Amino acid sequence: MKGLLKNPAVNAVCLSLFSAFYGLIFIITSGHIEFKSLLYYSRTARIYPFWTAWSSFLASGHHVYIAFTLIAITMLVVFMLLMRRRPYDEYHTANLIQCLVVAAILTLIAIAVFYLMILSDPNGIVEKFTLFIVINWTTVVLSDLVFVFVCRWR
Amino acid sequence: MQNNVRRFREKLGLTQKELGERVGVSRQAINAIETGKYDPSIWLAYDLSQFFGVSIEELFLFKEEDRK
Repeated sequence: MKGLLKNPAVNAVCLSLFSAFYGLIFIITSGHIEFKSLLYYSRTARIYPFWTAWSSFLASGHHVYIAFTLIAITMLVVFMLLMRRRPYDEYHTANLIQCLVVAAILTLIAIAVFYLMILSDPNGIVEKFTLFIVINWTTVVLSDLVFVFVCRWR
Repeated sequence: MQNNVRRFREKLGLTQKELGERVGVSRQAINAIETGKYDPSIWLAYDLSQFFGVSIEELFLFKEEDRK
């Protein structure tokens, strides 16, 4: 496992696939009629300040800008990874594992919080799960960005 | 973990980058080891001790309170 993590190309491929998957979903669902019909809070008469605003944001298809931003950051990270002339050493690998552990812990916390939110109000599960994906995606991309900046080889 | 890497390196007149190249790691790794921020693997500790021609115990100060 550590041997794989030492190769910058492995990190670049994994992050690219991760961002490509979510990016594709966000771009396809942006402005999609069926996606809009799945949203709850933008159609209900009751107003929940945060969820209504988030739902309207999704209904307007603005989440595509989140996708473009995270794809741009991913491209920057992948570019920096592929520009490396040498593989990571054990110190860099230890730092990468720390970054991934932080991303994993934040994701686990987000799972628990979102599970509680869904249990307390099962409506608007698409909005809630989309927000969870945004948090998860951002956490992973930013942790990798921090890693490539901290461990740049001079 | 406290160690004598900096002392032995400076004795040989090497920079962190040069020492890193000799043992196959980055300057950042040598810096992190010297400042005690990173404990090297047993193989890197072995490579460093071989390079300096000393035992691992001479290079790294094994204290019971540092045991994780």
